[in-house]
Amino acid sequence: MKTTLSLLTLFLAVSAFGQSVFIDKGGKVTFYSEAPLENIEAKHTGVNSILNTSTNEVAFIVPIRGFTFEKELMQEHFNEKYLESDKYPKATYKGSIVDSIDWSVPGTYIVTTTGTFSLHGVEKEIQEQGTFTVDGNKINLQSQFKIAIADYNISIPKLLFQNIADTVLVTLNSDFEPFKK
Amino acid sequence: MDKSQLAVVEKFTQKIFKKAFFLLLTLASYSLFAQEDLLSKLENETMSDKPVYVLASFKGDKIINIQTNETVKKNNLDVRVNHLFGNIGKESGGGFHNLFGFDQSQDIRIAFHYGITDKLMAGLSRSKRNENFEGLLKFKLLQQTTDNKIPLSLTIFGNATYSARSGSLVDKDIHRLTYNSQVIISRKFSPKFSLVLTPSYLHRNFVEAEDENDIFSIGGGFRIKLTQSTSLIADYFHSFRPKISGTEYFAPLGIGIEIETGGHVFSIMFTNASGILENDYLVNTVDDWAKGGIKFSFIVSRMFKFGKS
Repeated sequence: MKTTLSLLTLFLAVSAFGQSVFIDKGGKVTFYSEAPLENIEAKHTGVNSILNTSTNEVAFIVPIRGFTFEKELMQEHFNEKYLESDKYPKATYKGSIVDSIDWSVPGTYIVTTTGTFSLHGVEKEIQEQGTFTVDGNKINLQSQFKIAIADYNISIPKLLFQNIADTVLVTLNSDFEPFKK
Repeated sequence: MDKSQLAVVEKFTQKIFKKAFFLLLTLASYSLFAQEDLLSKLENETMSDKPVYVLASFKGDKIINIQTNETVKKNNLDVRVNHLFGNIGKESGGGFHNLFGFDQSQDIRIAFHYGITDKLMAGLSRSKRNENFEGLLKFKLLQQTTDNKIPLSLTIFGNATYSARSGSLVDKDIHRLTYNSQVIISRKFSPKFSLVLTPSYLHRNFVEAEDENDIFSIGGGFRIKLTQSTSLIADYFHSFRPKISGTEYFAPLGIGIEIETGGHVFSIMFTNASGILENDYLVNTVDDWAKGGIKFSFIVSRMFKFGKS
């Protein structure tokens, strides 16, 4: 009887496991650079995000080439000169949620995550705030944070390129859905 | 069932349970393991086979004289004004008196290049020399991908020119036409080095007695990045054509420095080419580098965007 019980729990654990993973393959990220000469905005609608509600972990993959700019020349410079997307094709983040969330209760949770952000070949520990909105099987995450481009070894020759700010504002929006194999 | 039989059955079921338990444990730990690295799991889930094309092999539709694989993006209009000054060397008509060719304009081309799609570009231009109107099409047949599954880019270029020149050379309208077609083979070997090789075929409806209507040429060019924003550029063409008495023709060679800024690419170019159009410089270049027959050339380009991409 004991064995059966432990087996049953294991079975439950295994199947429950599958439901604790949520994924989004069309997350949105925009970044905004404000400079005296010109404001630059880039959009991405193909950001990949994953959330594990049993371990409270999140991860993101941002393919750099997916950012679109208003001007093609900017997009080219962004890929070719600054982020060197040939060499570093994606930015990633892997972090854990510090605060506890009861994922079974619908509502809005403002949380802090800590983790490793990797951009342009540079890894940095960052701590950012995010807002989870839980509605049954649908979980939305929104976050806004700043990136100092010098932190990630991105150099911009000031004499020739006066139109890029030192710090860019990044906005993230992911709609997670239960992960199905 | 007696006691011994019961014991056997009990042992047997225990064994099965044990095995199943271990099996499940391994399964569970396996999935736990997979769970451990969420990032790799995401990576595996979202791997895409979509080709990523190599970006910015060159910084414009031409290096100096030679065409590159680049075209204008969809819904963009590139207005290009190309100015080719006079010869620098005194022996070739330059020197201080005309500020090394600065006072002369050997050729001026004003061109409108429009991206019909990201792969197809159409253009119209007018060149001062030989009073040529040009219509052109350029199409990206094959594009180099970052994973090297397609190791090079193949682009085709074709144009037709109509010379509005008056004079005795042409008595029929059809004689005013020339056609050039090229296959542009290019590869970006590294972020710092791109190469292009171009077989070219030029047909002129009207030529002088000793000359040939159909001229085959082969050209090559490269771009080497020196710093993050400056590059060394060069190109060369060799034409296979008969010797023509009285006039010596030279192979057009161009060398330049390309400087990139936030909104513009400045190219400081030197070439012995006598004109800007392929249809002209491939067969009409009479200036010699060795005799100072070099001209300064630059392009002003302005991109206009229509609609949403």
